[in-house]
Amino acid sequence: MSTSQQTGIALKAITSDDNLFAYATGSLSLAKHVMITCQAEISDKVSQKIGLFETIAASALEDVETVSLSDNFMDNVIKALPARHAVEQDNLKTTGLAPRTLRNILGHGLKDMKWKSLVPGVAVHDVLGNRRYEESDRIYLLKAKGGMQMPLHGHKGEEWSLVLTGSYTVGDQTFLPKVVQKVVGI
Amino acid sequence: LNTVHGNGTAEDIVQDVMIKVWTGAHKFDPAKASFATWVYRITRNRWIDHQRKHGRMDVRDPELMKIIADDEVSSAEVNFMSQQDAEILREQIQRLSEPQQMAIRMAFMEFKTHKQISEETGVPLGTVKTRIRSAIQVLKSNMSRHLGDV
Repeated sequence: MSTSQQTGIALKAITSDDNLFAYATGSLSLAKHVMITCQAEISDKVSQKIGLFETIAASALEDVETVSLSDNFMDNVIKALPARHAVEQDNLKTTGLAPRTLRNILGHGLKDMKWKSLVPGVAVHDVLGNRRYEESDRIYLLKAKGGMQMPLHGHKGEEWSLVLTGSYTVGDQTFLPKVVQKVVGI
Repeated sequence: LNTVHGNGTAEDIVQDVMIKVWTGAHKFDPAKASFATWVYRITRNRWIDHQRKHGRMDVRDPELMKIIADDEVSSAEVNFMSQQDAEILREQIQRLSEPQQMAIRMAFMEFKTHKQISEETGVPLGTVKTRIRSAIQVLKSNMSRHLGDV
């Protein structure tokens, strides 16, 4: 599972305080936000750090100056409420290889994926974003046959990677499951 | 949210948050987060969704809508801060220097990036980052007895 917008093989953890702060304040791109949400599901340490930032935000919220809403605000809220039977239900499976956030985006688990062949032995599934909007971050899933070697290639921009199952090696670095890592240009 | 790009936008987001709180109330788990934190997450996610709708991302992709709608409850497994500790945290925020409080407020309450805060206040970007980092460090340090090793 990757988000990319640079050729390279140096790894960096992306869960720095600065990135997690940016996450908590909604300043990351949607794709990066999703990647860190997935990491927070997997890592208690990451979720606790984000929790701290969000708690600080919630505490600060208590002291914000209040302003009046328009006279018809509540009428609009009531009109916009969905019917009672339409109250959200989470019917997705709660277990599986994919983090819940990813399953929510896909609408299903990894077993029900429809893959497109990228190169022999490698399949891809675009999750977020569009290849035509190159300035935007995007998320895609990759599935590779065990033991295969990817052809030499590069990436425009920055790439974050989260291995859901298995592992892969780039140069002398091995990407293992459950840790979002950054691949930066060298 | 009164300062988020005009009152119309702010009211639209507040309306979405109220509806989300109403329809997603069954998802709220006080063991995982305080109500205020849960509402903050919903508000932030509505803001991200608003930006996406009005930004350059491809809004035709219906899958994009779901992620923002469904990720409010997954961050912290344990609500590590009691109501009493939250009050202490609030007091600690009020003890920060005024420039630190302003930077924190603009980031968390107005969802502004470091760069945007720098541009609006005329304070160099590096100084904005330092103020926010030092504020977080002060809060972490002063709350360490209550938070453990976060």
